[in-house]
Amino acid sequence: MNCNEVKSFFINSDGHLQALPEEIKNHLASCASCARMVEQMTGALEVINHEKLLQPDPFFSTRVMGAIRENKQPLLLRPVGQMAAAVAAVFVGVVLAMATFSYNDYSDEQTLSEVYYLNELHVEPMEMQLLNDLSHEE
Amino acid sequence: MHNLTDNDLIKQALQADEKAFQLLVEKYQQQVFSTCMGFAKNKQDAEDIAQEVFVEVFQSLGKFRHQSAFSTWLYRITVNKSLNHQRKQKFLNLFKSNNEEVTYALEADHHLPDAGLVQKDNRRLLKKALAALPKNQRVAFILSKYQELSGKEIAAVMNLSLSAVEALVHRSRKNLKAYLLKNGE
Ligand SMILES: [Zn+2]
Repeated sequence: MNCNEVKSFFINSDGHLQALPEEIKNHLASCASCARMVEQMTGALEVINHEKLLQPDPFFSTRVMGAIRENKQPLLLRPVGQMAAAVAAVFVGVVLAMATFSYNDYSDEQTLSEVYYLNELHVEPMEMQLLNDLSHEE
Repeated sequence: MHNLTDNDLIKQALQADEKAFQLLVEKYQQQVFSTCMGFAKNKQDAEDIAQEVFVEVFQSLGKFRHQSAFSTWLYRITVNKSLNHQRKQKFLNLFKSNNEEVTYALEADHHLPDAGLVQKDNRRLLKKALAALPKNQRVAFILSKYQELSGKEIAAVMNLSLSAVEALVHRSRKNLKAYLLKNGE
């Protein structure tokens, strides 16, 4: 069995890697490069199991309710710092957009849509975005 | 209060009952957070996105038409917010040098067991591999792997047919493994 066959075995195997066929085990025992490759793959996939166990902060729901209350206030009543931050965010968005147009190595559609996105962030309805995101890919 | 269905809680939340909405948040925060984690790969970002999701849900609750399960609608908003976040990061990365990409803000996460160097490399590799997947495959993979949603549930969230979702999940697993094997060293 050669390295490519080992690779394609792992790509196509669906399920547990504990019960490996003898010939795969033999190859891994004698080929350091494949052994390292497989170790990296399993290590990276293992991260998913760690991440799945992570919990949000215990005060998460309280924080959410705070954010909701803040959002319900008319903009003028919000703390000054926050308003300044909002103004600054818009300013940065505009500057970034202009920078893209003037230094454009990538003046392709993707860059344009990124800029569009930053500017239209607050007005684009959720459902439309989802349709754009999910239906017309691939 | 604990035997209330989602629809009861939604109805009460719409009548300005904040406690009811908070219960809804508590019921779904783990699912929303870990989906965000699947995309963001960073606890702080995942919490921020999850918060945005619930604020959006609160604001749009009146528009929820009960044509799908509440959880389907919630996942849809979560996926959208997470993709938006990734798009923003990608955009900001255009202005960064290769070595300081915002995307790889994977600073030691002490909430993870053995968050050592190897672990950090593994997370970076996984993040790159997921980012390399076409968007639809990435979404299908995260919903199936992080949330263990069924093909049918994923199909409802993504507004696709079951067979399309099955194909996406299958391809995403294959492509992810191929990437990890090719770029692992
Ligand atoms: Zn080999």
